[in-house]
Amino acid sequence: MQGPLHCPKCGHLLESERCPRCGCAERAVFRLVQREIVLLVLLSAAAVAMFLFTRAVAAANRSMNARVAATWYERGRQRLQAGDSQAAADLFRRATINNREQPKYQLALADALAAGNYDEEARQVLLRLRDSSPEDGNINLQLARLAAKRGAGSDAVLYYHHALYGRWVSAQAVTQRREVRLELARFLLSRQQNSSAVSELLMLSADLPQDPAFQTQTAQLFLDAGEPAQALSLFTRAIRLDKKSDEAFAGAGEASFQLADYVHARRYLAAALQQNPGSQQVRHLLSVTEMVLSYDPLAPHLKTEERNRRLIAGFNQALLRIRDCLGLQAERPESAQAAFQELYGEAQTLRPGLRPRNLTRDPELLRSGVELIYRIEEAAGKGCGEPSELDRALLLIGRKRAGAEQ
Amino acid sequence: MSISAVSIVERLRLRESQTFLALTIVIGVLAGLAAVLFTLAIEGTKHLLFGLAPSPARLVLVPTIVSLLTGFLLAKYFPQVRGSGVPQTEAAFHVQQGVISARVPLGKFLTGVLCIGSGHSMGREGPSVQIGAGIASVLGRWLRLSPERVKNLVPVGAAAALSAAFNTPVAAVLFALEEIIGDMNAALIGSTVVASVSAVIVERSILGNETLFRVPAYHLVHPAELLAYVALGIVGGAVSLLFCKGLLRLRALFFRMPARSAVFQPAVGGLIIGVLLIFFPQVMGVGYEYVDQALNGGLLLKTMLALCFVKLLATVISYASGNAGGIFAPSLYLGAMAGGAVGVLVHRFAPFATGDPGAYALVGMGTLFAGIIRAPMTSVFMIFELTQDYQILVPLMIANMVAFAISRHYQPVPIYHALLHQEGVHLPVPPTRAAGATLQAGDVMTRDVTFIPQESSVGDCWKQVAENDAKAFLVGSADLLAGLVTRQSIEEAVRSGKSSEPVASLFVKDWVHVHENHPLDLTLERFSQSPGLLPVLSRTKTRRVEGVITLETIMRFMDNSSSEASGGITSAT
Repeated sequence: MQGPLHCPKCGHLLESERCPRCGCAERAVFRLVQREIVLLVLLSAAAVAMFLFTRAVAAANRSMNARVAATWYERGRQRLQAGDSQAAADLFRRATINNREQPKYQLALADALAAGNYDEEARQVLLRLRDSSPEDGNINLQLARLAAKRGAGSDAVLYYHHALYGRWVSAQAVTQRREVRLELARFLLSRQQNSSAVSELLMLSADLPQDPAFQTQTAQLFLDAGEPAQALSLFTRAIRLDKKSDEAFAGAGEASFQLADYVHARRYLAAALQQNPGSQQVRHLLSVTEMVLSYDPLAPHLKTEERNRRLIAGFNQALLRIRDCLGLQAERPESAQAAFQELYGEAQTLRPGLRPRNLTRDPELLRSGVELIYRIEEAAGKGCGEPSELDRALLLIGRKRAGAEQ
Repeated sequence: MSISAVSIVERLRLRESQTFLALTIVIGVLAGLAAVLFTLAIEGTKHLLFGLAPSPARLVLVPTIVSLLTGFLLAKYFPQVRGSGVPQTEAAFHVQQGVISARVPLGKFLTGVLCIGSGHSMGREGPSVQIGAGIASVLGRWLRLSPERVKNLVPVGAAAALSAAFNTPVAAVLFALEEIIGDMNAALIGSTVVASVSAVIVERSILGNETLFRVPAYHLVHPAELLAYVALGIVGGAVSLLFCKGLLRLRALFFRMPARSAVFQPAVGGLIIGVLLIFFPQVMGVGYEYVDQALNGGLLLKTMLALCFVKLLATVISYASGNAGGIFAPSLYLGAMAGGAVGVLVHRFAPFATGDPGAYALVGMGTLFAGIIRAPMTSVFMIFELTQDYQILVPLMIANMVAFAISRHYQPVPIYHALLHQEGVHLPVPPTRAAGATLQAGDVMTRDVTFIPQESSVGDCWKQVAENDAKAFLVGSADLLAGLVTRQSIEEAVRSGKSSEPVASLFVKDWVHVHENHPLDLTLERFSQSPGLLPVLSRTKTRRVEGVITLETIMRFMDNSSSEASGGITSAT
């Protein structure tokens, strides 16, 4: 810092602590110091004024950007509703550019990108959002959906669970969590992870709303997961809440059917058909149910003649089935063909003895007949094409009796 | 304490040090506020001029008409504020003793807002640097600081403005040292840090702590990814070269146009930019919002590739046509797009696990900055400051160095210096600056120069030089050097009967020159390459002759030196 000094007044190089040009020295130092203090105070005051002005301008700019962003967002929503996801994504992107602090714009952008099948881009947007709010239920749900879409099962389940236990800001948080769990159960079922799905459904059923539609949906998932008893329980609850719900009646009928409770199944299915006569699926199931009930020779409270008639009718149907089966030119292993031959041989052997008088005299013959019908229908079901409604009914009767015996 | 008790010299020194420190803080605050206001004014102007969804006609008309106005302002009132502002600041620091006219920050603010706000694809950091440096220089002179102090305030103001404009205080300090001063060991580091911190405090208290970009978390997923970063460096180097060469060539083309067309040149650029904006509105202005999108995976591969190309084109046109705005932000924009595109491709096709494309976009920003601006340390620290993550340093340095090496190999003169060369300003290179007070070309030269008029014929020329035994002669005048001819070439031309031909036909090709402050060793080296006459030219106007160096002047200098030395020895004895 020992460089040459210049005159503070005129800038000339000082010589012997004096300015040769203007001659200033001691007095000038005083004046200069006073002048500098004044100038620095003035500059500081100017800086404060400029600061306040700039802050006001910044506030105005921020509110203008927020307004612009809201406009883009609304336009984007309109485009998205109109099905133009590309344009919507563009508009949402503009909204996020003008207001980065509003997560709903980012979410909307991710939605639009996902709708346009730009899944990776949507995922990136969501991941950035998740960085700032890792507990946000909605963000995690969107990520779960994207993971599910790209088949990343474990990621999807992880994000679904984050969504379930995450934060939902709206007043409908409980409902939203239920919806997420329902979605998760559906996803697990689609990946054949039935036990995991049942776990989720059991948690869901512990706190179900008094909403018959929701209960019906949950029950249907139980049914899909192979839990007809749980399903029936929920379907009946739904029926109690809405006695005109054809879906609940049909579901209850199917659950009863799977539980081999054909009497109740018939009642529920009939009620479902009454509510919705156009349902072919219910009509078909009802038809099979009625056949099961009208062809079961071992049903209680039957007269002997009726019991014998049912057995003989069923046996004749089974014989026809095995004969058709043997006549089919289908390619099948020799062992299977031999098994069919054997069953046919057994049927031919038993056939002459199946007379009402013999059946009345020997109850074991009745059981043997029922058992042979079951074995024929079961074997035919595996290698002889689609069974008729009656064949299916006979198979169910046999299965029911085999289960009862076990 | 009475004045007589303390030496006036000591008081003045103390006064100047204290004033300098206080002024550093004030400059930090004022330059920071100016940079923030500049940013806000650009955004406001853009909104005002374009509205929400501008029609194609508006997209074309706004930049064209506004550029007509700025063209007039730039040509008539503010000729020093065209372009970035960083080269001008460097020139002010190195060759103008830090003197920047008050008109410069004012004009830069006005024209910068108009140019960038009207859609020109240019950055705000360069202009902010010039505004900040200008404020510092004006205040330093207003407070009557010594010329050396005034000069030192220039990088201080520049660092403060950049710190506020880009919200990276450390990178701003490094930029001032690396680019403006050109010396990482500069003694000014303390002042620039103080100003930079003051500015960033002001900026954050107004705009909030939010960073310019939402930066993705960086992860090097697999060691083999480093190879991908080498590839990114190569791409970055190529794009940098394309940008630099394209900009310099197009600018040279505009410079060759008649001087009176300078008023309309920005409007030509504005018209072309307007047409580009119809198809690619994303290249409008600074464009950091789209950099943010690229960093966060919000852009598709094809979009990034297209934007990389169009932004390059748009920036080259905007800058070369003489508008006011920088290339700092465009280099980051290009880097984000190129890096993002490379990232997507690597993500899709690499046989190993890779990071998100956003991470590549981030490294790409640093890479292009290193390739175009040629400030690799600033680039590394800038990205590090944005991410605050050590993990990014290795890939960033790899990509930066590759791009830097490619760019330096094929474009030896850095872009800011090359832009100054086009304006006739030669900045001293680091060895010249380091030479400082040692013997320089100015000590050896003579200002007694004889010129041959440019319009002379070979015969006239021969008459003028026949009596002179010099080996070479300058043609033109002291203010406008046209060329250099040798005695031998004149003699040969006369003997071959070409006396009527213009003397310009005998000009020596690729003649060398020096500037007054070039060190003596470099001067002697250049003299050995000259035909016996080495012109000494002005740094700010490279066609103005300050003097010449001949064998005679060198010998005279050596004689004087040896006699001084012997005199010194005698007196010492």
